[in-house]
Amino acid sequence: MSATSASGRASNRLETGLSVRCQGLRHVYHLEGEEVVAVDDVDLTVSAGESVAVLGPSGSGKSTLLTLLAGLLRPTAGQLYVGAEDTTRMSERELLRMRSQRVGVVVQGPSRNLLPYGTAEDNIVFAQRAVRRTRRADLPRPGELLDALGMADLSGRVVGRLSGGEAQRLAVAVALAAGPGLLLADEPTSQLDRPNRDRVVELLRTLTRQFGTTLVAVTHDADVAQALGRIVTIVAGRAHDRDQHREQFVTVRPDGSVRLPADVLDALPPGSTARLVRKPDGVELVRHENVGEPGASAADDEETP
Amino acid sequence: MTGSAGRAEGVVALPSAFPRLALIARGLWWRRGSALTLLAVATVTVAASALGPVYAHAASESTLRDRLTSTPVTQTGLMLTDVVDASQSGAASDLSVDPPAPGAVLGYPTRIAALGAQVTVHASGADAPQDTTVLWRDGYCLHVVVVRGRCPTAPGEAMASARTLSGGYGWRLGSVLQVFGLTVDVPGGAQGSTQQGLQLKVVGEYRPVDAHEPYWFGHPYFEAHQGSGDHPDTVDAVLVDPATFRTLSVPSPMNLTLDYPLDATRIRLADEDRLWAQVLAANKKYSGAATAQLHTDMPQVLAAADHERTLLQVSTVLVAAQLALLAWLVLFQVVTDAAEARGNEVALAKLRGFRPWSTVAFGLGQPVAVLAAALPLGLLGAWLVVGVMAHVVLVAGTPVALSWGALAGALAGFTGAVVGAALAARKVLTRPVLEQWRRVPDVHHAAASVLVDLLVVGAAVGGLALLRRSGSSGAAPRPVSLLGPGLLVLAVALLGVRLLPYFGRAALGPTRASRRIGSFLAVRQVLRRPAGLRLSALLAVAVGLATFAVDGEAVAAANRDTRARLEVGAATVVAAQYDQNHDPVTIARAVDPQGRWAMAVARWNGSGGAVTGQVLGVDTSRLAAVAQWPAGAAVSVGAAADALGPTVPSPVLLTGTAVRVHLTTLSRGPGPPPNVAFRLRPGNQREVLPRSGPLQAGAATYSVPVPCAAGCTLVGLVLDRPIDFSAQMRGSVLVTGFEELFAGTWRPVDARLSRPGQWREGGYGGQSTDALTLAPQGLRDDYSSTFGASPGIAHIDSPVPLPLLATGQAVRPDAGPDAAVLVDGSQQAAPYRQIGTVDLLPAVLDDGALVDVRFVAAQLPDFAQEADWQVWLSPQAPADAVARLKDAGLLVQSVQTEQQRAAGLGRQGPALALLLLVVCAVAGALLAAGATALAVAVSGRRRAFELAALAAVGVRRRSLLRSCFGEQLILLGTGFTLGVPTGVVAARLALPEIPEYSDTTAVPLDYAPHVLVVGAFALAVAALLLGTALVGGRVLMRSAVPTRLREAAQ
Repeated sequence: MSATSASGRASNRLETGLSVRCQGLRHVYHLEGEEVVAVDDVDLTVSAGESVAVLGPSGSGKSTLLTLLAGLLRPTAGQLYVGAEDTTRMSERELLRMRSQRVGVVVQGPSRNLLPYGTAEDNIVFAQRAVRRTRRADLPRPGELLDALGMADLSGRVVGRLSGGEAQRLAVAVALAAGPGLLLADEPTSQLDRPNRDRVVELLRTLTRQFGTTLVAVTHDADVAQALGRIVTIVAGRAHDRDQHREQFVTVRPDGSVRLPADVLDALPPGSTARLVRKPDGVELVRHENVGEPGASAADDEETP
Repeated sequence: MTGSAGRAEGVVALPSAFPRLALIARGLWWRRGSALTLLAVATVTVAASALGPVYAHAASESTLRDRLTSTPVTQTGLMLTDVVDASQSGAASDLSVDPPAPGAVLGYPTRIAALGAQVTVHASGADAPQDTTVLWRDGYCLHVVVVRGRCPTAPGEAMASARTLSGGYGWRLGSVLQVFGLTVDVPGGAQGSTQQGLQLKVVGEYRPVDAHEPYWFGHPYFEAHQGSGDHPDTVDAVLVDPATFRTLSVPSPMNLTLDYPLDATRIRLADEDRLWAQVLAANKKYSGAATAQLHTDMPQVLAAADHERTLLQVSTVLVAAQLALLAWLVLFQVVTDAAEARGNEVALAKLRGFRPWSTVAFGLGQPVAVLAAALPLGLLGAWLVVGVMAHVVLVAGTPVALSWGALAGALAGFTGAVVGAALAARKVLTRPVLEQWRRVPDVHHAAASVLVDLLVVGAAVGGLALLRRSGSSGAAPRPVSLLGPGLLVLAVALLGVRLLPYFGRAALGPTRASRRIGSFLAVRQVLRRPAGLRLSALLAVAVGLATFAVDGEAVAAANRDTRARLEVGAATVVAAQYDQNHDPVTIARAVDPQGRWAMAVARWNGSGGAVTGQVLGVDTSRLAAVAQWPAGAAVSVGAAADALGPTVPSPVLLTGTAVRVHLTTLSRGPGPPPNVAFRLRPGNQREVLPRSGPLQAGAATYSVPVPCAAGCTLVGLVLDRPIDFSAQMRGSVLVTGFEELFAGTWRPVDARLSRPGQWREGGYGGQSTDALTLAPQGLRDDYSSTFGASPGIAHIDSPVPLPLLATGQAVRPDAGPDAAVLVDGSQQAAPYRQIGTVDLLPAVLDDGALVDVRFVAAQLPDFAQEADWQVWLSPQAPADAVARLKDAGLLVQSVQTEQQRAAGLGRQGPALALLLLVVCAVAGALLAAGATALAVAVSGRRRAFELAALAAVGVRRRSLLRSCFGEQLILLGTGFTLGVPTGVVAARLALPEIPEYSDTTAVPLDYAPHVLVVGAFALAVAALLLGTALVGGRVLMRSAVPTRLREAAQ
């Protein structure tokens, strides 16, 4: 079977990309009586089929953000949409179903992603087991998927005997086994040498390119992030989208107040007066002319609760 | 994934139709070490659950078979008696009722018909008639040895026993026996025929092959004895052809007996209810018959067997349940470790969106597959273990069957194992994915486990208290007491292990301050691993139970040996038939002239006097060398032998054909003169009293022919009272010498008349006073006798009164001094003097007395005939001792050894339960040690990271090895230290409450711990645990290589 034809058949059976939208996402760990804010008021939108790298140093909260996106953690506050569904309102069962067929996850370390005693095909079948029977028939066969991803040579090999790079690539393939629209990858290239790293990155790029799968990958490797296209940096739990300076989001709190991001305070400094301009889908915030400062506006296109 | 399974390296290919099974198989292969261990533990758990029912069934079969074979045939057999007219057919068809056909009642395939009548016979040429049974019994010729002549084949032919023919009755081969009581019609007389007594011709001489074999059904056909008073002697049965009875006058009512000996080999446990019902039905059927009667004690025998089985089954279930519980706990520990090791896989399933049930199915798939494999293996294991035990300890041929109970037990074990697996995996299955990856310690669980431990300890202590209280109420030992040791060791183990952290914390400071970092690390590691403490507790329970079991079995085995030794009396006891010409005393002395290994013994029940227990006549010169004497007896065996068998003058022996006495009549009172009579005992035969003639005035010689060519003992001289004179008889005589006629010449007999201590008064019957005075010429007797007595003198060849050693129970305490006599069947009395009282005596235990067999036989004419004779052999007897005895003429009936008896006791229900406890407890100890090894293996991967890290920061490998070894040693040592002493204490406390036999015995039980056995066992356990610690430590260190750190990072 040629890789192209296999890829085509596989892509036909994968779900199309899912968008991701976080709004005021916050998560606080309670550890031994202390509160540690891991993710702090993150607003982020990822379009369907987009590839995003979440870049940040160790302890910055990027993995926590990924686990929130995967539904493995409940956010302390904020909203999180995967596609059109608010995952913060989902039951555990619904979250499981989401992970079973709509969201694929590659967690840090290949050993956590794979059954060490199974073959590559076993692992793909294992990942497909949670998919509803009615949909399972539409999924790519393990051989096809591995073929499509250029890993046909791994199909009968036991995971425990694969190299780190092979295992990592297989972890990505397995995460795609149920045909998810969103792939979340936590440090997919850590502990890999450069050639293997590049092969994994190429694989991830292939996903979005060929299958239209949305990709959110957490990494601390700037080269990897660069290779994926859009970069969202995260520092001390707060995210900064390098490509979307003009489109930021704030949350309207229950008392009606909003907290403006730091990078717009130069347009609307503390103590200034703003004029509210009603729009069909929201309100535009424009600095009051009396102040004599150049105009600035902030739009809130989010639905208020 | 078609074909992938086949391509996977190192994986057994499974059909692709079962991908999930294939994945499970690969997972098990991946962790084959722990999977195999789990399989082993699960197999033991299932086996333990099935073991109880399988063993109980087999052991019940064995005890039932033992009971049925050891119970006399008179109790287990069926005997239907009826009166029939023997002159007709004399067959079973003549019965007034329809008798059971052979095999109609389960276990009774044989029917033996017997027709017999108790009659008096007078042999041609004999002096006196004898009583006997004229008997025909189906197939008797196959059960006797024809010594001379042949079996009767025609009417009027008879066969007499060798004892009868050689007994001095005057019977010979060819003798005609005139039978009184049975008549035949002969032509003549007024009515054409007249009746005359039946006549039988002796055409054969027989000896029963074994008078005690089931064929003879315990009938008293061979119990010859001397008649008492005017009754004639009774001789062994006279066997005739059945046609003889058909010649009898019409009618000739006679007892027809149908005997149905039980064939115990045909009875299985499953048949017992049916047998019971059939026996009861037969009883009911014949209870209303006019003359027919059915005799059997089978219902009572079965009831006793039922009681023993209940005892056994309860004990067995209690024992096996403890092993099953122990195995389950080990399984729980093993599965917990295995589940923890699979935590990442379960987390992966959740990550992939498996629904809860799917996650559970995936998480439990591997352990349940192993448990499913363990189900048949466990059943097979139980069957094999019981098979081996059956081969070693149970009755030969005991079937080992997998009953429904065993299957139910195995299924219960399997279900328990699955539940255990589910409980063990519960945490892993319910833990959130992120927690699984982070391995957050479960503080709440630790607190809950303390609570559970406290509850278990409380229950254990409460249970123990209840057992002790009910046990001290004086009730008989109960099987439920078998739970006591388990509860005690459980309580001590849990409490002891809970104290370990406190000792550990106390040791932290000193070890930290010392230069030995290995010790510090070992203590630290113990403190941070609560699972290790739990394992230690488990080990303590297992070792404690095993110690108890081993000590208990050692104590019980010693008690069984003691009981067997005392009950049998000697290492080997050969039962023999008494025959005057085959005297066991003479034969034993002949085959063992040194007196080192053979001793003749006669067991006899008296017919009066104060001694109510059985009298044991022993050859006291061999008592110390041969008999098993009770330890710590109030009288030592040496002292008893000396006191019972004092030195007496050697007997006055005659070998001539006539004897005469020189006697001077010094004075004589009024009345007719008495007859001078000699008391002689030809060989070992009964005493004879040949009379010479009336006492004459002055010196005279009195002679008489005697049957002494083969040797006689001169017992005494009697001045025999004339039969028609009853008034007082008095006078004085001087006996100056005896002579015997040998080869036509009179020669003096060395009667030692002038020597002191040789003669005593020897009056005969009634009251006679003989005052003996030594004179230079001989022995003077001033006599005076009344009430029909005859005065006389007797040679002292046995002490009078007889020395006798008795147990307290054997002698009536309220009997007066006149009752201190032994009385035989002919009411001849021999006074005795009790030389002491002991608690126990060999063979007769707490209800018997011991005398010298030569002395008692000399003083009681019927003793030899009435007693059951045996020859006891010491352990020093040669291997062919029995053959030598047979060659010497002993009529051997059966042989019993103390080992056989001990083995029989070992096959009783309680002993079998104790043995199972040993097997279970040792298996439990091995299991716990195995679980410890597994814990090392399972935790090894995690620990290896830590050790590799410590090695990387510069801790010396030797220190790390010491820390690993030390950690294992602390955990295992705690189990050992708590287990062994607790087991010993448990044995001391619980053994008196636990039944050792299914019957009662007078032999006291000794519960003192067997230090050697326990010590050897403790050493073995210590070596095993030490080895486990060493191997465990080394295994850990071998896996602690730097590459682990890289794996950990991944």
